[in-house]
Amino acid sequence: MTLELSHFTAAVLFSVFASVVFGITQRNTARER
Amino acid sequence: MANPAKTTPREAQKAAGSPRMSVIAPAVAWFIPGAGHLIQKRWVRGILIMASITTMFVLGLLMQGRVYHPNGGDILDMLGFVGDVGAGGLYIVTRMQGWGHGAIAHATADYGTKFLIVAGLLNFICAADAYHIAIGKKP
Repeated sequence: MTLELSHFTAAVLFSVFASVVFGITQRNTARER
Repeated sequence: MANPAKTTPREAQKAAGSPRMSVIAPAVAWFIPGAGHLIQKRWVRGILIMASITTMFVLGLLMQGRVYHPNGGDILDMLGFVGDVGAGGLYIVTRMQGWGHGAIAHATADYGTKFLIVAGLLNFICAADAYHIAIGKKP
């Protein structure tokens, strides 16, 4: 199976996943929960 | 402003977590993305990390991304390997199955290679986050 995404779709998916991980990991205090 | 409340030694020890967990959590987090948070009962964070990194890695493979080998011979290949190996078990399974040879025929195959590398690098960050939770540095 091969996935041929457009450049835009690939960029959107990349940013979504990166944002989720950074949103979780770059918090330091309980207030930021 | 700093919290003036005093903490008892027991509370401080509880916040710091067990020394064993500070070793196990990052190791498990590296091997299975998100598992380092899950074993510390951070369910939502663990599931989000697991879903994000696994999906990113699988999309990279489906986009015919290239999986780097440790002895690529080129310094940039070695850096690519460092990124890829961050995905832990996903990388090991991929190598065992012989996936990830890449295909130049697809215009977005290079994006797939980047997806694979970044999924591994993000997993390194998550393993560090799991370690910080284990030592009580983060909630």
